[in-house]
This record gives sequence, C-alpha cells and structure tokens, in this order.
Amino acid sequence: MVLFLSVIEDEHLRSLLEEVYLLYRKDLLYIANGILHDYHEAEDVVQTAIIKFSDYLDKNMSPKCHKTKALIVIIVRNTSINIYNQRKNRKTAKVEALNEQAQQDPSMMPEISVLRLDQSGEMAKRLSEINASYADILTLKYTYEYLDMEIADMLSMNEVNVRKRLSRARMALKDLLEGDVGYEWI
Amino acid sequence: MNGYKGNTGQNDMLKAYYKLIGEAHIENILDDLSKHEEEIRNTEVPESLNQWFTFFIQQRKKEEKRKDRIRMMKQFASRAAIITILLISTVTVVTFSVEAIRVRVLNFFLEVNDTYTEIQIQVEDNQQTMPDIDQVGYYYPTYLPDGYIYEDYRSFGKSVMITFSNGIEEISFDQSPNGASYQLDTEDAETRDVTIGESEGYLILKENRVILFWNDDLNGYTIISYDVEADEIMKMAESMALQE
Repeated sequence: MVLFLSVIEDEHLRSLLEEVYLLYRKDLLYIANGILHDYHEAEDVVQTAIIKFSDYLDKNMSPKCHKTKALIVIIVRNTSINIYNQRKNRKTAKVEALNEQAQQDPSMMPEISVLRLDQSGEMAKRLSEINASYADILTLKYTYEYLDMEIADMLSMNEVNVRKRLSRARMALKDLLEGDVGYEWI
Repeated sequence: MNGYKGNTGQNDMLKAYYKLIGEAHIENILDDLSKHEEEIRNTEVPESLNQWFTFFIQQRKKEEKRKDRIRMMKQFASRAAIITILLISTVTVVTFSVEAIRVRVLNFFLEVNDTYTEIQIQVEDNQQTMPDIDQVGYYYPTYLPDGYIYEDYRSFGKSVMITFSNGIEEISFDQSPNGASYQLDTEDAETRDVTIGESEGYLILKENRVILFWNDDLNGYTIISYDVEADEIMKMAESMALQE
C-alpha cells in the first residue's frame, strides 16, 4: 500500500485526476458505502465514478475547489442510488402525474414573486429531501451547465430520462416555492 | 410583433435561480460531508482500489500518448502531402516550360528502338574510287512518276542529292561515292532484294514509304519516296542516265 501511495504521491507524476482521487477517495467510499452498505459494491461505484469524472475533467478545474468535490460526490451518489434501486427494485419518489411540458410553458414556471432568493440553501435542501437526485440534476444542468447528453452519461441514464427528471425537479421546486408540498418519499 | 418570443426575461431569471439553487446545493453537500469528517477520516481505502487507480492512470497516459502520436502523424501526413503536391507541381511546370528538360524527360519515358540497318559499301582496292565532282558527272533519271518534276539539288563534295516533287510529296535521289555509310530504317519494314540493271539492291517498304538502294562500281544510289508505288521507283531507278 505504501508503495502504490508513494507512486501516486510522487509530485512530478501527479495529475489533476490523481489529486482529486487522493483528496476525496475516502469521502467517496464513505458516501457509496452509506447508501449501499457493501464495501465491495462501494469500491466498484467509486471506480465507476472516477472513470465518469475523468471524462469530464476540465483543465481549469482546481482539485480543491468546492465545485470539483461536489461534482464527483454527485456522480458517486447517483451511481450508488442507481445500483441500490436496481438491487432492491425500489421505486423513486412518487409524484403526482405531471404534465412534462417544456420550461417555456408559463403555467409550469413558478411565480417570480415567490422566488426566495435568500432561502436558496433551504430550498435546495428541501428539494433533496423530496428526491435526492432532483437537486443534483438541477445543479448539473444549471450550475455546471452540462448538456442533457453529458448528464445522461454521468448518471448512467438516457437523455429522455434526464429531461423527465429535470422537468420533475423544476415542478417540485415550483411546488415548494408556492408552498404546495404534498409528496411522499417511498 | 415578429421575432418576439415572450417571457425570455423570465426564463433567464428562472435559469439564474436554478443556478443559485445548484450552488446552494453544492454548499449543502459539503456541509453534510463536513459533519461526518471524523468517520470519513477513519474510512479505510482498500488496497485493491489504489491498485486499480494506479493501473487506470497508466492506461490513461498510454492512451493520451497514443492519441498524441496519431495527431502528430496526421499533421505530418498532411504537411508531407502538401509538400509533395507542391514539388510535383513545380517539377511539372519547370519540365514543360524548358524545352531541353522536356525533351529529356519525355525521351526518358518513351521507348526508343534502334531500328536502323547499317549498310556500308566496301570499296575494292582495284577499283577507281574517285568520283567526278563536276556537276555534269551525275546520274539523272529519264523517267519520273506521274506528276513529279525536278525541284532542287545539293552537292556535298562528291555527293549529289536531287529532289523531285509533285507539289505535295518529294522524291529524293542521292548518289554518293562508294564508301559512304547509309542508315536505312528497316524496323517493321518489308525488304526485298532487287536488281537495277546489273546492280543488286534493296527495296525497303514501310507503310507509305519506299526506299530503294543500289550501287554500282562507283556510287551508291538511294531513292526515298512517299506515296509512290514501288514499281514506279524501280522504273525511275532503271532509267538513270549519266550526265556528262
């Protein structure tokens, strides 16, 4: 173990990916194991996440930047949830049947007057409580500005499902903002 | 109103709000992790994961090197192609604009067959070999093929060449003292042994060309013609009379 670590830790060989791995491998393992409760599966998930992350590694990324850490955490978490759901055949959060229209449909957009800018952190937290992946996918789309295709690849979904989930996330946020919270987590 | 799509400002604001939610979510993620800092620090990283990662990094580096090599090869190939095209263009222009080079280059590619039969008259020692260089001492045909008339003559030392023409083609009659060397084109030609008076000769037929060669004790004689029947040339040869 010391030999491999020393190889990795060798300054002149270290790359951005290596730095990210060294900095966050424990966090990633902890997150994956917390969902899957299986060290072997958690290890597999971390490997998958690193491979995915390496495809979207940006040279401008800083290994110690919050966005970088959050990105790989989101990938690990969603990958873990996918495996967990496949294993347990669980359903995701049940929502009312939604008319999954494009964002441009005015009836689907929250009133501007109710945007609680000062409570964005709370809104994000509540959105995660409704469905763990809603906040993640909104973050990937609007904060990281990845394309639907790229998000699909990262989260091992197809593009149609990405758009559906985005639409549901926006709807859920709209309902949260307008005070209409009626969801069950199953 | 044309081009107005409506609600673009509102859409932009919502997008900005979603971005804000995303940023807040990032902070929430990190806050959650920080609450479990102790447990995370105590998490053991399996050796197999480290080994896998080392191998993965090596594979990535190999892949990147391979892609770099391919990229360089493509760049080199495209540059080499451009240089080759420029070189060929330059050589082509130079080749066909300079006659000396063009002839040499074309001759290099053309197949050249040496097709000439060499005939040399061997003069016997006991024969008089000094021709009469006086212009009156020459042979002149008393028969010419239909339409041909005398046109010109040239003398080169003891050789005399007389040209006849019908306005389109020419018949040249050359007489040179024995000892001269004649290069007669016999490639793909029909050759016949003939007799002119008491002399032996050769009749060479090739396409529309007729060459008749014979000699006597003093001179060798050549008639070269185009589009004239061989019999007519034979008659011309047999009609030769000495002009004194």
